[in-house]
Amino acid sequence: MWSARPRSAALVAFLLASLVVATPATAREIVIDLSSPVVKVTAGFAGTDILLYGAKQAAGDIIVVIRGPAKKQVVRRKEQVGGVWVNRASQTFKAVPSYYWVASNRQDLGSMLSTELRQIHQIGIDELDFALTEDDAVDSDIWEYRDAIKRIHVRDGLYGGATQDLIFLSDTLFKTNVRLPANVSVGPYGVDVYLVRDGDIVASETKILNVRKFGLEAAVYDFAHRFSFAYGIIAVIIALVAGWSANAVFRKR
Amino acid sequence: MVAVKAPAEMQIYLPIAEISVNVFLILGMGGGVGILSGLFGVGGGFLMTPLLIFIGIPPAVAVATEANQIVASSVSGVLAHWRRGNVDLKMGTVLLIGGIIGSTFGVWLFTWLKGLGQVDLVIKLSYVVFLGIIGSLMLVESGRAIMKKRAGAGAMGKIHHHNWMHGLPLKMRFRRSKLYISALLPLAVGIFVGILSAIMGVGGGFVMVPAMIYLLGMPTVVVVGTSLFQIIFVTANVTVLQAVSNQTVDVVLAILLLIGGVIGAQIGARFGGKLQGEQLRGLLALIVLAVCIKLGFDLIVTPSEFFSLGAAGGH
Repeated sequence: MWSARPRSAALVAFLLASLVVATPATAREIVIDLSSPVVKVTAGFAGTDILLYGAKQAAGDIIVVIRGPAKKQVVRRKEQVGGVWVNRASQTFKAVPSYYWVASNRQDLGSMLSTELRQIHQIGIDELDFALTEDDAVDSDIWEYRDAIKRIHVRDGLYGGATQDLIFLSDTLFKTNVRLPANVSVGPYGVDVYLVRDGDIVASETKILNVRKFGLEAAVYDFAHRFSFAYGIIAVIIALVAGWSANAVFRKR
Repeated sequence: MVAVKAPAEMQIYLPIAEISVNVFLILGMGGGVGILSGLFGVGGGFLMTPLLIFIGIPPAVAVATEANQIVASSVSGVLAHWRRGNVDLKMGTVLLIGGIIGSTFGVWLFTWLKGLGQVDLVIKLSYVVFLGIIGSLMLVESGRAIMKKRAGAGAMGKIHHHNWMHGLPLKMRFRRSKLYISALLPLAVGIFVGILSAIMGVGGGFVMVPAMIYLLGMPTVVVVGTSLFQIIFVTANVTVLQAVSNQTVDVVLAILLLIGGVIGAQIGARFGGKLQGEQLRGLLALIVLAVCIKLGFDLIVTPSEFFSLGAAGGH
């Protein structure tokens, strides 16, 4: 299901990139690359660090934003009912990035870009805005739900990043480390790099990072979701055989 | 959460629960509950599911996976009873029809509650209620038995009463159980236990066995075998339906629990003969109540985070 999308997205990115290269008048102002374009999530996966590096041809600051595949997300609020904490009110958001990372060479994103620009481009966790699904009515305390999404993702290491974490190796070369925790979602991750000068974005560059499950666990998960009836039958057969052989082994004594 | 520090190679990633767990912790839990089930002759599902929840397995996965494990432990248990002819097939089949109806409805209810975001709460509340009732009854019963033994009294009361239930239609003869009762009774018991099985991830022996003895009036000798016989099919039904509608059966977790459980049950069965019945039941009652209190306490203590995230819509 997700395998088709990144490929086409990568193709678009490639076509755009070749267009830029083919136009001699506008030489690319920033180029970037990742230490590994594919992250393999295997049985022992405990998270990983990815090195993002690049070069800029013009003066300015760099902001890096990485967004994981967006998901429809229900946020539920617990309230006390008869002494027991129960999920009560909820709000459903249309597209919440499963991962969000922002890094820059400066500490204060606000000193580089106006709030308006940061909101338009969704730069910085504070500026992240999530829209409700069409069939969900807006509650007056919706901001609490938005804050909860951010707070829980930050707690789980899925939203983060650090300003000042992007280092210039020379006037043109820069690098930064991106932390992907063990619980990352699979799918295509959009990597956007912005060149910022005098309060405006003067250039940007996009790359795709793919996070994929590998190994037996991935196969089991995939099978359980794609052929769930067969999976259930196999689970029962395993249990029947195991129960029967346990009895056979211990009866002899 | 149980904090267990272990080298990375002892960790295994559970594909459906989507968390990493310590292999030996799971094997140990399977073994521990296996010992208890061998000692007391209970299935152990009603202890294993809460334990899985305590170590951080999502309740929905704990319930569905435990149903899968119970298929195995019931098969292993029923064979001995089958050889001795202690399975009432006719009664088992009637219970089973009820069980299939109940568990199918139970999984549907489970899926509906999951969509509402209330399934974890319902699982935990069901456990608090049932463990509380069962634990208290067992404690009182074993306490009385100990007192009685000390006082030297004997003679159990009559267990087979004639009352309104014998006026029900659809009477059926159950030869192995030496009963002539309405089929509606075992059917209703089957339906009720089937629902519990789907929602709580239990075989339901702890409800079924007393119901068979006191409600249906079955002879004790065929009760356990017949109950195990129908539990196999009901939990198999739950496993398949949970796999289809919720994708919450974790085979890797089930296999680990199985291995521990099989070994534990053998150890337990060996020690069981050497200990006194009443004390044993009293001990089990205390364990059941402790689990009940822990689950109940977690429900009323103020959470550190008032919001929770969940995936929306279908898959």
